[in-house]
Amino acid sequence: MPEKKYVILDAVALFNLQIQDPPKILKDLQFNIIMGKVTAVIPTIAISEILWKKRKEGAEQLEKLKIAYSKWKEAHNIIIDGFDVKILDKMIELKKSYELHDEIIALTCQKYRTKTIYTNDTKFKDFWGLNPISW
Amino acid sequence: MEEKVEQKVSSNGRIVIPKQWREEMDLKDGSIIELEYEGSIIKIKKKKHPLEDCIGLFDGTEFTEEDHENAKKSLWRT
Repeated sequence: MPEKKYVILDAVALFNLQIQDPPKILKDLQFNIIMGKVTAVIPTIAISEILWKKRKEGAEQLEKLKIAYSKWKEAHNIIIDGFDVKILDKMIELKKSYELHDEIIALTCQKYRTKTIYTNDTKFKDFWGLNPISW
Repeated sequence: MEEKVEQKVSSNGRIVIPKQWREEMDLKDGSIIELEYEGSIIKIKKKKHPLEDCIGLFDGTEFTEEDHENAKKSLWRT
């Protein structure tokens, strides 16, 4: 049985998965998730960031996020994962301080032993040796 | 229009869904199907991935890199 291919999504990538015509790279990601070719890991922090924006946009948009959230939870190959002790165990070993948000996202990649993160933030490559997929 | 085909079932229960039907149902390598057993009838349905119900849900709105930065700031602001 092939090993699961995990990919981590930041908030902007996650948001764009709910768009009909996202950039090609994210369209391909939509397809690969739907076809079960990859397992997408969504850090809870990314959902909270979208929630922050959707609340500002009003009740209708908040309702749409609720629908999306329930669907993400339903999918067999979407994992919603939070800042937990496993990540803190890795965090405590870091010698240098980074932006806390970035530490949590990057260490989520380490937790799932993947370097693949969908983000436009190039810091992840510079600081973490990850393989950011940008669009 | 109802279409029918006859097939032999293999020793381990495998059958082949005709190519034309697979194309019409958009069944690809890796697609998940659901089988429903009703007495003497077995129904085959393409299982919809939950993400398919989300596509287009956020159309007409945006979440820019600037929004992302502002959201990040709000996480740690006291």
